[in-house]
Amino acid sequence: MLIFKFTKTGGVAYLSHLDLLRTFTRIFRRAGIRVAFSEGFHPHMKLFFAPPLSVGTESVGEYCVADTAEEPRAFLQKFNACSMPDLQCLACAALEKKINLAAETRAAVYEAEFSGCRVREAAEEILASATYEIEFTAKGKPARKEVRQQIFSLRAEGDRLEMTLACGEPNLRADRLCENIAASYGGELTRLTRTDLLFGPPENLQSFSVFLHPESPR
Amino acid sequence: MIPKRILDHVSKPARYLGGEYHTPSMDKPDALKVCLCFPDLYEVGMSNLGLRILYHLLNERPEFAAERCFAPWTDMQAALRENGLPLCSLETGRALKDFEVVGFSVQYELCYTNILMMLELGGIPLLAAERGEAFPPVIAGGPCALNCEPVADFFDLFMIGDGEEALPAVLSCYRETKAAGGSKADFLERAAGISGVYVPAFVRPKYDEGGALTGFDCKFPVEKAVVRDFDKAYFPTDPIVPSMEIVHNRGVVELFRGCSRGCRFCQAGFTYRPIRERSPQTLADQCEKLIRSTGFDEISLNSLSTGDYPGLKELLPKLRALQEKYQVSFALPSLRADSFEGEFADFARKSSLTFAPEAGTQRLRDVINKDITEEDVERCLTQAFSLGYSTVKLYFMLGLPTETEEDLRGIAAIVARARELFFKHRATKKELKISVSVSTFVPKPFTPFQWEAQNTREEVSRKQDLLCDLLRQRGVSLSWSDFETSQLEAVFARGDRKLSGVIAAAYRKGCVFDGWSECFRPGLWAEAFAECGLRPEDYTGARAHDEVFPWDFFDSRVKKSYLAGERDKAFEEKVTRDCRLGCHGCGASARGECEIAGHPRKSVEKSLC
Ligand code: SF4
Repeated sequence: MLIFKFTKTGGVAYLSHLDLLRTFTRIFRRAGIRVAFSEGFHPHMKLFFAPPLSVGTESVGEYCVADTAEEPRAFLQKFNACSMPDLQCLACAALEKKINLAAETRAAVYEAEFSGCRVREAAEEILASATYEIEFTAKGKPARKEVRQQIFSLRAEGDRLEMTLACGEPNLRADRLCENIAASYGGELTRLTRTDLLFGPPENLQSFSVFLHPESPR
Repeated sequence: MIPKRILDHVSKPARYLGGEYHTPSMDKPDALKVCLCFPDLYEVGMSNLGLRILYHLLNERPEFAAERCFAPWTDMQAALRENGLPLCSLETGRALKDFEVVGFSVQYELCYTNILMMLELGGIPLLAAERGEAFPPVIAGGPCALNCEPVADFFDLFMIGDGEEALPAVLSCYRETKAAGGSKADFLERAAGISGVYVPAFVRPKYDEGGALTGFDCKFPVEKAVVRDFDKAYFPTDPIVPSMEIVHNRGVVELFRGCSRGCRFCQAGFTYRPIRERSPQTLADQCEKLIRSTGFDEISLNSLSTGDYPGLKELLPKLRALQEKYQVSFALPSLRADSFEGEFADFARKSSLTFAPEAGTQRLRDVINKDITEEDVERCLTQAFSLGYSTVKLYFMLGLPTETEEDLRGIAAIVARARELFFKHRATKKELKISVSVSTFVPKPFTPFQWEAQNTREEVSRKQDLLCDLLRQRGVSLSWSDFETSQLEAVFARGDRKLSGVIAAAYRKGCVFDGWSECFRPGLWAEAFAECGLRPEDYTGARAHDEVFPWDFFDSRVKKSYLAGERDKAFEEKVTRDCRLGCHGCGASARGECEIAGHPRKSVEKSLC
């Protein structure tokens, strides 16, 4: 088992999860990295991901667990040689036992860039309030959702907003939150990047990257 | 780069982003900047082998930097217009108008309005005559270039035939002319001398008072370009690997070019002649390189009739070895019913079997020279059903010359026979599924049927109703092409330059993506024809034996007299056998380029079946 951290930036951010899976499969085939296959009628590579990104959101902090015997350093090198610039492996480490990324993910960190938006005011007002409702379209229909509890932190800096939001179960889509902020505080969202994924109890959230630095305390 | 606010709200944004694996570097400051446009969606264009070959061929050379641009879907068109943004290439986001040369791959008639849409969104005036020196020359190639008269007004230059040598020659000519301070007109004048090049401005069609074509003023001869050494011809073994799902998401090699069958309705069968083959060793090497460089788990062995490839016996064991080594599968498309045999069947095990008898009776199959007998079909079906197949797709054509009700009943008889055979030989519990697909015959230039009429609306609907009645059976589904689409295709296929006005008018009214049923607007086309004083029926009727065709000044290698002879034989219900058994002198080998002409074989693959 290996855990690796990867990017999904530029055009690759617009690939669906299914497209991404196919792309991974091809990268592994090109790189000659052997990944175990599942049993069953439609065998697929045993790759395990954290909750997928919304299409259009970039990331420099995705994680994947792969069932492979490959040595981490070789894995990273081979992967990057056979992938595109917008989909690169950042770090890789061996795992003693599998981590269920999808089930353990609690929160995600995002960096949003706006143009012409009163970002500081937005952060202050939302954090000061006990409730915050967003509007969005789901399956072609307008919908509303109360999300204040799923906003763990907001920090404004110039045109940027750093956000820690619930991810997994429950989940708050950063793109929807940002579109609501732009609608209420002016301007538009120009870029949205997930920078990390966190696990653990709310009072002690930790980055999955701890698994990439075996020397650091777990 | 298209802004996020647009990308976030269009369908399948990955179409517009590029950045796929193996995208060549465009960092070549001195290279000629060319944009290769495909007037259909990314998923369609990226599946096209011709575009793939030419794109990589150019980019492997230091003097060219070729980028791609596909037709934006309706939502993206609207977004570009609303935001005042131009249509740009995928690689560097440059607007079409800012390239040095813009080229289109024109694969089918129903994409003509998309060409206009792309030009306009790309910032380029539609008419070649209005473009002047400020805009890049707009050139085109692909199957439709063979009769490009309906779109002649929109292009500066066409390339006919194989592009592997012609396209670099044309682009080098442009570079050199420009470097020497020449104008666009100088370039066209020089390029017109290159084999395969047609410059519409240098050919003036002449009409009599009645509007009938009487001949041409031709400044240069126009002949099809032919790649001679096909085995050694350039072929991309590290093509771009699309990240999103496309129509044919797999690697492709090309077994041979041209076809020896001579089905009389089939344009590709004549226009890709002479026949040239790749050796099994070259193909096996290309397959292995492709698998290693792309990671595709499926490779398709393409040609017009893959079962005819004489090297198949030698190739198959090599492919089996690759299959084991890399866990890939191979697809053998366009396997004709008579070349289907056990060995292929288990090799390329698919969920469904496809047959194209094209016509319902032996008589009509003789007329069209489709060399499949009832026994062939029965033998293959029997074999397939006993191997566990339960899904069969049957392709037929409606409205073929000399067709009668008897022939339509023949279609039903084949379907009935297939059912019978299934219940006799089935090796599965699955239900039988037969899908019958019936397209309307479109007479195409450069075929023996180029003189024939297309059925009228009334004839087509009567025949479709009859088939509907005959095929109302359990497990059988019937689909057909709608009349307006086939009619428009027929108009453009044999059209002349007068149609440029109709195409422009239809585009102005909002016609785009005419090949997509959700976009096709036959009412607007009817208005466009009326405004130009033309009727579709003027183009779809029978043509006189001695009529001058708008495409007559093209030398497609196969002689017009040969086509006329084939037409006579059709009406005598006489077949012309596969020319692998002996050359019929179609004209394609006038310069010794047909690799099979001098080497008649005792038998063709049919005997394997
Ligand atoms: S030259 Fe002869 S062998 Fe070659 S395609 Fe024509 S008829 Fe067939």
